[in-house]
Amino acid sequence: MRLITAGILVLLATSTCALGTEASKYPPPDLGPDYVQPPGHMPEITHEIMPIVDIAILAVALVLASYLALKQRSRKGIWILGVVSLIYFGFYRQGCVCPIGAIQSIAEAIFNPAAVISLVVILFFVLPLIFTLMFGRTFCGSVCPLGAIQEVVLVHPVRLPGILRHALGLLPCVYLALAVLFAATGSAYVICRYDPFIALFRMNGPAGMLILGACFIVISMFVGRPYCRFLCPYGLLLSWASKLSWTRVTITPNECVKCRLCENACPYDAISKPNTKTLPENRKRGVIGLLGMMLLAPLVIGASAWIMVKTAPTLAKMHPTVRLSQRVEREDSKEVSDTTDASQAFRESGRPVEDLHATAAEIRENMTKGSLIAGLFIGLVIALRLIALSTRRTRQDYQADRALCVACGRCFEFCPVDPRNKKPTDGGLA
Amino acid sequence: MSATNNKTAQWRLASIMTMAVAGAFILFVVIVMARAWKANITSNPTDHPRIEKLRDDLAADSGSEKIITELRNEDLALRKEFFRTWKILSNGVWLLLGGACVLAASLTIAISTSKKTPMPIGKSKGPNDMLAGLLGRVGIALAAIALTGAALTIPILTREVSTRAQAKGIWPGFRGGPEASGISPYTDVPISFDGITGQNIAWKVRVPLNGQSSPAIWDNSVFITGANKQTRKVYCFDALSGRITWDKSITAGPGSTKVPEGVMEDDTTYAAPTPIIDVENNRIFVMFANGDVACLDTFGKIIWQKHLGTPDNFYGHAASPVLWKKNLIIQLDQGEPDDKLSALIGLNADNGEELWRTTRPVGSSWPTPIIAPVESGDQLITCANPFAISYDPATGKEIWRVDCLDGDGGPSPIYAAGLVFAVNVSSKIAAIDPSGKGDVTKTHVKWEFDEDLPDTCSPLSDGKLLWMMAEGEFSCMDVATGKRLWNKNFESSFYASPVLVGDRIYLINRKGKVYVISAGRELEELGKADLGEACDASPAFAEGRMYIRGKKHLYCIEEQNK
Amino acid sequence: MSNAQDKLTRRNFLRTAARGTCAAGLGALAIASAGNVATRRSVWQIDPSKCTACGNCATHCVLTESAVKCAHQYAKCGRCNFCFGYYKSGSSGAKSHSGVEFQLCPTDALLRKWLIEDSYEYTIDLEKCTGCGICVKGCKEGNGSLFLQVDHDRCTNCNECTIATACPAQAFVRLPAEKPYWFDQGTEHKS
Repeated sequence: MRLITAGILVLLATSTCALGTEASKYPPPDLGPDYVQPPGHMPEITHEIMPIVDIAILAVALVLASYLALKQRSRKGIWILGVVSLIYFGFYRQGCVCPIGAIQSIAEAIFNPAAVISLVVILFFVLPLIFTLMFGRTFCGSVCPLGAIQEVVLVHPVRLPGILRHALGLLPCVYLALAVLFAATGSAYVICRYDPFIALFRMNGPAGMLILGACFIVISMFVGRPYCRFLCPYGLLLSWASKLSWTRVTITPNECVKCRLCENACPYDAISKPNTKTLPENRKRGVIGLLGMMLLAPLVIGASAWIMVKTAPTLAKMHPTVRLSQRVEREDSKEVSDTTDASQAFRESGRPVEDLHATAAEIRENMTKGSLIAGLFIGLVIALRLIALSTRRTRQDYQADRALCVACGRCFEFCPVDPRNKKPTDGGLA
Repeated sequence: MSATNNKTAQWRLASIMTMAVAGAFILFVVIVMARAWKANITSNPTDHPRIEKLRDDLAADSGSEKIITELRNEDLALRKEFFRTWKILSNGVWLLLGGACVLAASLTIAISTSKKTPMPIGKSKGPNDMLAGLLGRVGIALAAIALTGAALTIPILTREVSTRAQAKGIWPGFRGGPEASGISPYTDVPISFDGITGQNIAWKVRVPLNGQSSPAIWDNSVFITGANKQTRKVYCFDALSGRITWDKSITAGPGSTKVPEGVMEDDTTYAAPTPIIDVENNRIFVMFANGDVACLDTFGKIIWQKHLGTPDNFYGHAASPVLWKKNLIIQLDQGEPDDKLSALIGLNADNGEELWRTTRPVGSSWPTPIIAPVESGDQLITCANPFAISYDPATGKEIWRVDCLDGDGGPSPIYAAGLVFAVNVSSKIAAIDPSGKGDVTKTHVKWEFDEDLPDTCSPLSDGKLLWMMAEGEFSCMDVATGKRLWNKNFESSFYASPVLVGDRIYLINRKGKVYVISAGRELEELGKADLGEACDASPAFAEGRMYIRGKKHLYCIEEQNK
Repeated sequence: MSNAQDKLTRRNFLRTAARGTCAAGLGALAIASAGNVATRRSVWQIDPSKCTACGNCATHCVLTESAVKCAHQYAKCGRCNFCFGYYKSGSSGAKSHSGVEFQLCPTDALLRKWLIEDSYEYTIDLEKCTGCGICVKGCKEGNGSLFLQVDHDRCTNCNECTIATACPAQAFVRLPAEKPYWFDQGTEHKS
């Protein structure tokens, strides 16, 4: 112990010496005793209370959203809450921290012992998940600013063919796997970097991101919630939680009379029609199909893992250190003739090249391991989806799909059984 | 019912009008902001070309009140523009947000007023779960195939293409390296070029700091030095683009900040010695008038630096360092001959440690020493007042000396046809047989000649003929006999040493006018070119290229219509 | 809510079990990540020893006016007459020294005030400073008393700092909120 203390003292002494000699390059003049040094500029961290306010508002909004969707069944209320969330979390707080991005912070905190994470981020990640386990995806419906902005601009919903829906539906799972992989290896926070709406919330950003945001807005006018359905990695987690939820939004508060009025009410294809009339189908074909999918599952998982491991060296390039190491290697081998800012900064730093290459090799190795796990995960999700699509379940009436319903409340006002819809709307059943 | 319909229709119309207005407003704000953005708020207003030009004018006409006023006004205008742009952008964001809110609100009203309750169409057939499941699986399969395709093609797309060095050629130091013969191995260089019209100029870039040093070339890197009283910098330019790849300032020790006295800031400059490249060990060596010597790797990292003491040289130290194997040799001549200050210093090129030091019986001098590959072994030839002395470059031991020089000497010696040629303006040119030992003034001088001797420019020889440039008077002599064959007066002043490119000789006068003549027994003028800028430094060469440092800019000259 | 759904069918039982597992899993995840929770929170800051003053701070912040500003450690400053951070290099040749035509700062944010003899006090006008780092690069040749710092009354503390992703030297690090600057308070007031 004493040795260590002595060592630290020696270190301290040498470092102060080094500072001393450095400072004397152009020694300051003797300014006399009356000289008062101007104060250094070190502004306090402002808005430190804001993250706590955010958490409180998030909790209140979640409670309110669940109440409005489940008890009050008020589309208007849900819409207004969405707009308020959009203004507060989106435009005022500029969309950061959000639960979607928090996935990465959590992943990094778990895999990198040196990473620091604040309690606020953990709560942002956990709270919506807990509420979804209880009440379904009410967070998506009226708390998430990304969901709200897409909800608000949806003018003329166009149905997508089922084949496209299922194809695009794979993207969130890939996005989630990659986002966790990149965060865990310390490479990048891709969700934050490629968030299409954050540039709009900030009303500022690189031209590419602003254009991407505008494109998403235009698509959102015709396709319901494209980001939520076909990209959002947090939405995938919430849809799983929603499947297990304790209770959730229903189309009708009473017995369904199968009047078919709500059939086209959902722009997100989350309403399943009753299938009692078309059942039973050819049972034998169904069983063969299911067995086939089950046999296919290990193959799918294996192939996915293999592809991801093969892609790992490319994925590793997301890490700045790996890029730098490759760049320096190419420069040293005279393969390229110029230098980059990064390689120049590295040369200035005096850090040994071997050290850099070793760090990069370690990151590459981690990336390969992580890619294997990510590949297994993606394969498993694909296999489970294929199996799920081969099974039949009897539906007696019109139901909101447990995973897909985002509790927007659009279908409420079409239900004639709901006592709140007292007066028939213009051109309705009357 | 119709009254409600009417009212709804009115609301619809109003909301659509509002939408149109809000849309137009947003478009307007976006255009204004985009225009402001184009002016780029982060660009540096003090680097504006107009400011740059005025600064050049000011430097040319030092202290002109008119230019200063103009410059300050221009600067003020640019700064105002900068802050105005900034304001437009920050205010525009809020206007944009407001516009978007109005648009969204009117859009919502327009939709809600036109909403109809959907009527179920046709007979309900009930869903075909079997088909839906099949389509879903097909969709997933297609997506999986697409993702696999992406995973396999992305590595190919992101593969980095090798951009092998396109510029080739090595010109290690002053007049082409340790031998400093001024003969270019690269002959494919244009005869005519024009720095003003840009004819055959691949690029022209400003060298931020002033200096008389010549460029040293290594494929894609062009190394050059510049300095003023306070700062000393080494620059590396990209040979292809002319962009500065890196720059490094040198302050070798506490003594480095002492400004050497007597340096002629606009003539000799604080950065007269040319860098020298060590091709085998990937490094360059530089020296400055304040006595700083440094060794850098080709990426600009300082390997070592050393302050040799502030030279007491009444025009400013100018001799370039010379590299011989692992010895970096510096001819540090100072003061008057009697002061005994002058020395030849051999430094270990790996770490800058002094290997040997030989005191020299001479005063301040400016010629760069050369390595002469004499049959009996390499010799280091130095010139100063009053001796031309040869040393063993390994140990610094004197081999021979000739008392043939006088006054302030500028020209470097050359070695050609087995002879050493030492010259000085106020004495003579002497052809010395380097095989002797000791004082060989009486025994080894083959011939002498004392008309039209150069003051600054080093002589040039192809082994048969010898050329030298006095103050505008250019003469050609026979190497074997020392007889003058012809001479021509160019009626202008020259600092840059003549260079031999194939069978052509390039002469650059102090105004930047370039004369190309044939390297023959008869005088034949081949062409003229113009740099368009004052020039005192000797040119450097690479494959198909010639680099000339003007007073302010570095020029890369290359045939443009290949 | 129809009563049929609340019945304890096999499916519902499995769901409840899974829900419980999920909740437990979430708790475990939170605890696992909470292992390295910052006591207050962490903030972005620039490590001056790594910073190369490349200029990306001025252009890559999500704020139009970057959260990065130039900071001055007065204790280290030599109060030079010819300040490398104030003057354009190469401007010594001219007669006049004090003119705006030789200034390095593009926005006139670096101010100087005469103290004694050949000494000047250099201060920063934070309203004008864009965080471009031109003066910082210049001062690296001097004592290095000027350097770039994230101003915490401006920084929005994004989850991923966009300047950090554009930093060639990987100089952006997260610091605990207790000590959010690289300034050393001690040396600041000692001399």
